[in-house]
Amino acid sequence: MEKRLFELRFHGKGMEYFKIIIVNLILCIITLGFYYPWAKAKTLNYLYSQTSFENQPFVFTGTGNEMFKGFIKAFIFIALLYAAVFSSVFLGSGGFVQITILVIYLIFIAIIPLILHGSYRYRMAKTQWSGIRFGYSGNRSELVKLFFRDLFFTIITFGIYGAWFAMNLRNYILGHVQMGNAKFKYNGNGVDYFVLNLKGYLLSIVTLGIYIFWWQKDLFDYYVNNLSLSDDEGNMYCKSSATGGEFAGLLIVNFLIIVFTLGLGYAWVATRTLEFVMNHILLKGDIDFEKLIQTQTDYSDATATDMADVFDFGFII
Amino acid sequence: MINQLSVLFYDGNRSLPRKARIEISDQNIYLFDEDGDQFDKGIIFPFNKCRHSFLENKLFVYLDTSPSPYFVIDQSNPFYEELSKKFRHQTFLGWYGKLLQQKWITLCLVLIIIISAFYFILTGILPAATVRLISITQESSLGEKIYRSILTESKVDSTATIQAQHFADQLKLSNKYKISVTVVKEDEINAYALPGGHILINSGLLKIMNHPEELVALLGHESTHINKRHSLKGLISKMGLSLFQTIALSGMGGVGDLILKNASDLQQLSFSRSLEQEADSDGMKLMLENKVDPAGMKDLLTHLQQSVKTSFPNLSFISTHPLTQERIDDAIKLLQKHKNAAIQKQPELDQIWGLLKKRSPKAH
Repeated sequence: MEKRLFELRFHGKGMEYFKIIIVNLILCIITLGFYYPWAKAKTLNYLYSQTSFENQPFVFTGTGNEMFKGFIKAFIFIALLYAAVFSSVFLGSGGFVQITILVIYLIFIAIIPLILHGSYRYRMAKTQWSGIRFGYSGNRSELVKLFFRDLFFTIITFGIYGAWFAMNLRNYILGHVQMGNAKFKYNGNGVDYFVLNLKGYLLSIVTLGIYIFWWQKDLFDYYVNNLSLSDDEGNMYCKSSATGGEFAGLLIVNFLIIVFTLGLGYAWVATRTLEFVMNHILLKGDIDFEKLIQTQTDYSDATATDMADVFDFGFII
Repeated sequence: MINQLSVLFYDGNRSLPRKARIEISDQNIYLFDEDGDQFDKGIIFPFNKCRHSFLENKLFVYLDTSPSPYFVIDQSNPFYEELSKKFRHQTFLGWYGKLLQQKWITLCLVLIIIISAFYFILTGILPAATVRLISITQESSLGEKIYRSILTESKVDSTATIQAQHFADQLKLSNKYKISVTVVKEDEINAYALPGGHILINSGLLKIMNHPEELVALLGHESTHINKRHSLKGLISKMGLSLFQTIALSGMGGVGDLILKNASDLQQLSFSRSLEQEADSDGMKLMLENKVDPAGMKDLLTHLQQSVKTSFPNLSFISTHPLTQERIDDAIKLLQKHKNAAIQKQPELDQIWGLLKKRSPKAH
């Protein structure tokens, strides 16, 4: 097959998304938050259905019921941690409280790789395009090992190794994502990522923050340009076409929308940003997307996804 | 050439679509293979097991399974109108759909109403219910703990405390609580009541009083705050969401600890106008029950107002504080109502007052 450009687009409208957000908010409030998993499913359904690749929309096949089960497990887990802190504060002496808090911090850190693993498995298994599932085939113990090894190096190098940590994690996780029989690959390296961030940091200081937009652009470029997809017969490469000036426009307007609408404009900020991202990723290659085969299995345990939401850390590595 | 009637079917095994012929009944959609005989007998999409989305003049209909086989029907297809109508109708069936159908302004209004209702529950109903669940014994032991934590940061005038307590013991101030008075060495003109029976009076406040009836008025006022559980209510209603969380996580048992954690708010706690007026009028009733001249309340308030004026002569907005003036006016009205009430001279009170006043001579 000849090389050609593929089309990735976001069609969502701010007003449509706004109504979904408001309805979700109403239902979450009157159910004291228990509607959250269904609200999340509705949100993802909308955003996926408004994103198309080669004119076919993505589909989120996860359900509120699945995520509710995970939500309850995550809720019980957090409640137990809370209870541990509370009871140690009211029963124990000062030293005992400190030990409890330390142990809880360690538990939090220890479950991060488990959360990453579980939430990728669930989300990818529930992402579908042209009837073909995505999948995450990473190995849990490998990810845990990688995480703690790199965390250790990051601590003993006073954070400098953090750039390598981030890239190793991203390489591992994205390298184990598949779209049917086609495999993603991420090719980041610590040196580049460290230099990019150091440059961004220093220039942002020198330019009194103006360079932040170009730094953001560099981060976006580094994410997109190192991502590729291959099957047995071909490859697809990603290329960012965003400029620092465009990023400045996006982020400044987003900021103004949030400030002047007291946060109500979030829906427009989200749709604008998604549109921007999709419009600035060029996809070129020779994969025949009509030849993808269903290879990935289903996976319906959403506990880790809900846990990730509770701790509020982003899905994307 | 795609037949106008045909749709593209994605079977969930391969990404390559097949052309299919579509037929619709009341409950189901049937697809038949057009290219070959792969699904000769027809694939069934029951309406109630379908999800759908619209994108760029196309309708996508998914089977509610994983993976989801689906078909795409173009706007030019004669079945498009019928199917879109049916699915649009389905969208708005449930209560989620009913909400989503509303105008955005309606939704915002609903949201505002719900948030206000919750605010009302959190700041009104929930604290009131919590207060009712706390027993007097629990309240007193809580007050005792708060008292001890306050005392670690303030200096007590122990002689004046004994005298003031002796003064209070001559009076009947509460049926439910044991009232104990503490005089704190502090120039700021202030006094406050802790839940459960403790009244703290700053020596600065004693200095501006001229006669024993004013102290009775003060004790009556603060005792009313205690009897009516104003401090407890005030502390609890300031907690808002954290009260809710505590009850949800550790039940009523956690509330006491939470109150203790927030006890420092007590000194900054200002009661609403209606609570202060209640404390004034009930305080005057207590004065009458003790056969003490209720005019002491008017004098106390007037002295308070004057002392604020002399301390901050430039802050005219404080010296003409409408609340204090209003309270004085209310006290005068009540005085007229009770002008025939029985009043006795009480030599014990006068004597203890004399001793107290020797320690706190008049400031001005």
